[in-house]
Amino acid sequence: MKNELELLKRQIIREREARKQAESLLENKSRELFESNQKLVQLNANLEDLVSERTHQLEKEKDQLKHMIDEHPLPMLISTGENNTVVNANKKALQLFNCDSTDLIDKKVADLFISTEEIRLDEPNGSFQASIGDTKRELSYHCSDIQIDEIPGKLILLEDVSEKSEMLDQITKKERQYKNLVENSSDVIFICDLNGNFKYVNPTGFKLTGFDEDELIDTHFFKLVRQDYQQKLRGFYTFQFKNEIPSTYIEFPITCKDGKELWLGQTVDLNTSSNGEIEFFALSREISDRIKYEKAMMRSEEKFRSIIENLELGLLEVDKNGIILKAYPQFCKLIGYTAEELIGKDPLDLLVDDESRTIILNESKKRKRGNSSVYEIKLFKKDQTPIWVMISGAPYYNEKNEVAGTVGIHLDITQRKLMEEELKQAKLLAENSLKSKDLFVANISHEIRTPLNAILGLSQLLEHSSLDQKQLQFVQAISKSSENLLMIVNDLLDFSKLEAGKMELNIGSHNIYETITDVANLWENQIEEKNIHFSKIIRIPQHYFAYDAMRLNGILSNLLHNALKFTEKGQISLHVEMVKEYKNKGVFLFKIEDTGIGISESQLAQIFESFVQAEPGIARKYGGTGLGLSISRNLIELMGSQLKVSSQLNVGTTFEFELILKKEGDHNSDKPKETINAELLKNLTVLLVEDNQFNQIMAHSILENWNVEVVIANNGKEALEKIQEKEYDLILMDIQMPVMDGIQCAWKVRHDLKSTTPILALTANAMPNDVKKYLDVGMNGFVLKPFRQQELYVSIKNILFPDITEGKTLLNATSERESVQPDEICDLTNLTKNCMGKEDFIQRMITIAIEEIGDNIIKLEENLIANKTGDIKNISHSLKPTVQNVANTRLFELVKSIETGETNETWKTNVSVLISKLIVLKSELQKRNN
Amino acid sequence: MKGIVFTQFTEMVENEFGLPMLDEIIESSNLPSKGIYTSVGTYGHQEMVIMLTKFSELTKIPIPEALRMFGHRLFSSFVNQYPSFFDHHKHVFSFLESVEHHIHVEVLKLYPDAQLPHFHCTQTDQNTFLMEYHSDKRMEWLAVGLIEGALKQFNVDGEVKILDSPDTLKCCLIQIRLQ
Repeated sequence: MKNELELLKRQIIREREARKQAESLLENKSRELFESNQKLVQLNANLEDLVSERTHQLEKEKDQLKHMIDEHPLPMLISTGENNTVVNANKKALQLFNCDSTDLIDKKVADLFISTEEIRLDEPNGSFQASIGDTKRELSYHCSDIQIDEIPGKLILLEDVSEKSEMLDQITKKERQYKNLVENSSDVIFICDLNGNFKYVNPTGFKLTGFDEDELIDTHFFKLVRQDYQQKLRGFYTFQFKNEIPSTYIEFPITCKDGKELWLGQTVDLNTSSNGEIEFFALSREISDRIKYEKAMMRSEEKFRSIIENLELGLLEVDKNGIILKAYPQFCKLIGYTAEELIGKDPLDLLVDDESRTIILNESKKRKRGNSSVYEIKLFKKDQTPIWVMISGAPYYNEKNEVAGTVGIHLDITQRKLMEEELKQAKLLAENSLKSKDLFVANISHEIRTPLNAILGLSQLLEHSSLDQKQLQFVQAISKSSENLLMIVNDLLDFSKLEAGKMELNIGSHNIYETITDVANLWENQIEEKNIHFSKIIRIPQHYFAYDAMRLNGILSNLLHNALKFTEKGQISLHVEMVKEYKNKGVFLFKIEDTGIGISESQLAQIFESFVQAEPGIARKYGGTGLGLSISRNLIELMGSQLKVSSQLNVGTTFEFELILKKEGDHNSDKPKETINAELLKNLTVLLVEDNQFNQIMAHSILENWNVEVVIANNGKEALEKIQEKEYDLILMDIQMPVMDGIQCAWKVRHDLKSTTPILALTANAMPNDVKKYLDVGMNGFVLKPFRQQELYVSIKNILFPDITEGKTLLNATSERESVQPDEICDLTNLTKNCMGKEDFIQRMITIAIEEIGDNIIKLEENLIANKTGDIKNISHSLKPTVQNVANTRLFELVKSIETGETNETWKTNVSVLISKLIVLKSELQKRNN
Repeated sequence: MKGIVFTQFTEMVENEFGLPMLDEIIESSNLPSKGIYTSVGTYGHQEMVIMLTKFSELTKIPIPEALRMFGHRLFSSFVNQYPSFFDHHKHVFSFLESVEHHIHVEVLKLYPDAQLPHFHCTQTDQNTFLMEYHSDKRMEWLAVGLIEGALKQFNVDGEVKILDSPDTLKCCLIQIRLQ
């Protein structure tokens, strides 16, 4: 039982396991089945796609085939059956038969044509004549067997050859034309067989060579070629034939029948003739002229090359990137590199330093724009010695007309550069020596003026001492002579000014009559002393004109002086006449005539030359610098006229010139000379800074005469010491002094000592530049040495008591003789405009202005001493409206510059200047209101 | 070898000889599958050889006879399960011819891994049919049993015999002669 039970159990277990196994298998199977199914679905879909694609392709192929048949250029029929029934026909076929496809389909092919012969189309190829409609045609056909749906059929290609034969006619016509072209061509055209024998030559060939047909045809081509070229040509054409080169070109000389030599340029094509043989087809053109020119050009090129090489010019070709393409032998020689070392290199890497590189880069920019240029640079040879070259660079162009590179011609200028350097040095030396000449003239004039100053001054002092009549005359003579000497010195200075083109006229308003009579009176005594009659013809009005009185005086004096010098007996006449008068102008004739030695015609031209006198002996006999006439002539030219001279040897000389002078109103700008009021200067304390003893004595004496207390300092250093010891009312400052000069001293007075004591420069140098220098260091004015008492008085008074005088300003009071122009500070233009010309109102405004300016002068002085720059600026600001209304623009600008300027030494000087100018302005205004 | 052969075999043993016999064969044969078979599975051919040998040992029935017997049974089970293979055949020879070209093709569709014998059939006269049996498993007696089953199915009497069965070859010739 138990056994059976276990048996069953085992059986059950097996069955259960088997079931599980089966289930699992089934499950797997069903999954596989599902997946297979999916794949199948997919496959099916793909299959559908594939089928549709294939169908499409098939249709396309069918279309293509149909298209091919339809568009075939020849008429095409497809027929089936023994009777050749048409089943399809293409477009060309429809065109040929001129009908629709319905007219053709199902008809027998043979029935389509009207023909006497039977059209069978049995053979694969054939031709027949037939009419289609009314037109007779020649047709050829091509038949091939095909299968249409397993039914045998034929594909028939028809060709209408009637047109072809027409074409053949045309070809014949064309051929005739070509023949004409060949026969009538201006070029030689010929055909040779492979052996080189002429088979055809066109008429031009015969004409050119002089040979006739019998002489050339079947003879060898070389019969014509010049002996020395035959071998070359044989090789050339053998090569063409062997290598089957379709076309060649070569130039060679031939000898004509008459022995003349011609050059031909020949193109030869390898040609297959109608019978299949290869032949040479040649086209030759006569190029003798061109060859001639080419040879001439080559010779000329050769010539220029050898010229360039012989000129020792180094040629260098670079491409557009600056890389050396070619270096000519001379360049290699110049630079010390071989051509191999240079080619392919950049000159910038090899031959130059930084400076030259910059130049070259600039130049190559020009070159890229197509500009050529010449420049000089330094190059370094292979051994690194520097050489200077002048490069003439020019771009060259490629066939597209683009800049392809540069050709540079290098000329070795090292020697020239060295010479230039030497020349530069020499020029510098020369310029320096010229400078020293100017300096010399300036110094000499100073040296001469200083003692003259003393003589003039002392003789004036002497005049005022108690002298008897004779003594007085002597003293006056001394005075006169000194003044003459001064004139000579001034001549020299004038001359150097004229030479340098620095001469300026000082045009003022003067009484012309007084100027002329002054000159006449001055010379009258001297002339008559020599027992020569002096005739004066002066026909001019007592009137004011605008001119430089001093210069006019100088010119007349010079001419009178000359006349006197060269006249021993007879007379000298001065003739001045106003020859014409206009409303605001007068034309004056000046004429000086003598009965002297005269000048020969040959010498007349030279007399105006500097340092030249009519005869070398004259200087010895008559003295003089020889500058006088030259200066006079130049001055007259400066005045806008010309000095004319006429003379006869041993009879006399006449100088004459005309001046057109502008009339001036009857005003008083040519002021009456101020009388010296010594009372005014009484008890002043003056420091005289002067190294020259004569000058010291002279100035001292003048000042003592005026009861001025004088303290003397021998140079700037002493002056500084003295100023610190004691307060002075005024400092008279010489400029050129040993130890410390005047400019340095004045600067120290203002800068170190902070003193505002007025300083008056005593100077022989009154060029505008010098004057500016004096004022810049803080001086208040200047007196030009040698000075007269009068001038010194006016200068001092203007600085210390400006209110008392009239018309003369601080800065230009002493400058009458120089180019600093007197100029009124007072300018009421704006005020008059603002007051609309109402005089009482203007007067009231001026009164207010005077008060305000007076107050501010004091304030400015106080603040300048206390160095309160801010306050000064504020005062300047408050002054601006007043100044704008009553003063000229220059003062207004000065006020503005003080208000806004940087407070340095110049600024301080400007403040001093402003104070002085305000003082003058105040006095001008006061005068206006009185 | 397909599982149906094993399930049919074990079923036959159980039905004809009782469960203890089957149990003994399985328990004593140390089979890789432990005697667990399902008709849809596939098992080593060697298991069948082992079980047959054991069966023959226990029942004293020689192996060829046992295989023939089994063939009868297997065929009737085929008929039950796959009637479509048999229905449209009017003649047993036509059916036998279809074994190689139809039935086995269908079997392979279902069981691609099945290892089937090959038959090359020739009908020599109206009543004689030759089948060349090719198989390295040499179970030609099972084939004989199956063919006899077929004759019975088609209601014909006939004799099935192995004409030539050289041991060294992997094939033998089976002759079917109808009466």
